[in-house]
Amino acid sequence: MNARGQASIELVFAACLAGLVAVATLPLFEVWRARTRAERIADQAAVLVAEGRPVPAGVRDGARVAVGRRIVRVTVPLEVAGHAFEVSAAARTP
Amino acid sequence: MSQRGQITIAAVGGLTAVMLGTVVLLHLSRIASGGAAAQTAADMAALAGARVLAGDPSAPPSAVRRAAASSARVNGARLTGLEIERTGTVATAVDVTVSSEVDGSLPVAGPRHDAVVETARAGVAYTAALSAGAFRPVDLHGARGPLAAVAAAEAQVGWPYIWGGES
Repeated sequence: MNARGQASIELVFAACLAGLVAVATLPLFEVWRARTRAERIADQAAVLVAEGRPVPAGVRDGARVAVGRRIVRVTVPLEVAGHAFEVSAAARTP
Repeated sequence: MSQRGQITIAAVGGLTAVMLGTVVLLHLSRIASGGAAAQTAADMAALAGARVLAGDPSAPPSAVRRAAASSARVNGARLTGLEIERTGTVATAVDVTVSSEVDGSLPVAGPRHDAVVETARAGVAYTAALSAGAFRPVDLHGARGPLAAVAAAEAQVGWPYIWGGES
């Protein structure tokens, strides 16, 4: 068998494998992005709640914000590979 | 030297680099997430301190620190610094610094404990609630003579007169 042909096949295979690994890690970063967003919203909402002000729709930005006694919970819906997930964050108000 | 297998070595090297990069990025994302949580803790700690001062302007710094530290702790951080800004003797703002630990493990560097430090500042606002029948204070600064009397009288328009009361 020609060694040059073997190398080409291995190169294509390696490139496909690297692409698969890269694609497989993308959902992880989607989750991280959603979590960061949930934490940012929780921070802003908690400050508003601690100041006794309502949480406007602009801050919610599509997330669910539940204000409890001394806690603000934020849930951000997320879709990864066709499956629905939820990422949440919480902040405790003084 | 045979060329067979050379690309396989390169592929393994490339994949290893991709995996290492992914692990490093995940750790960095944890640090970023820890930073967001620490910022929340700092904001809440500053607000807790400001709230103590707003309720009692003569509250001792230890009470302010205690409230801020408690608020930082329940949000997963540690209060490392607190400063009360004053204008004269009146507290006007609370500055806090909090620290949060982010634990993780990297393939080459091993276990890591990264500290995330965040700061926040909250202004102190004072309000005075007067009962409906209370005397209304009026600012007569700059007013003199008849002008002061008129301004004081205008401020009391609509104030119910109470027989036997003082004004």
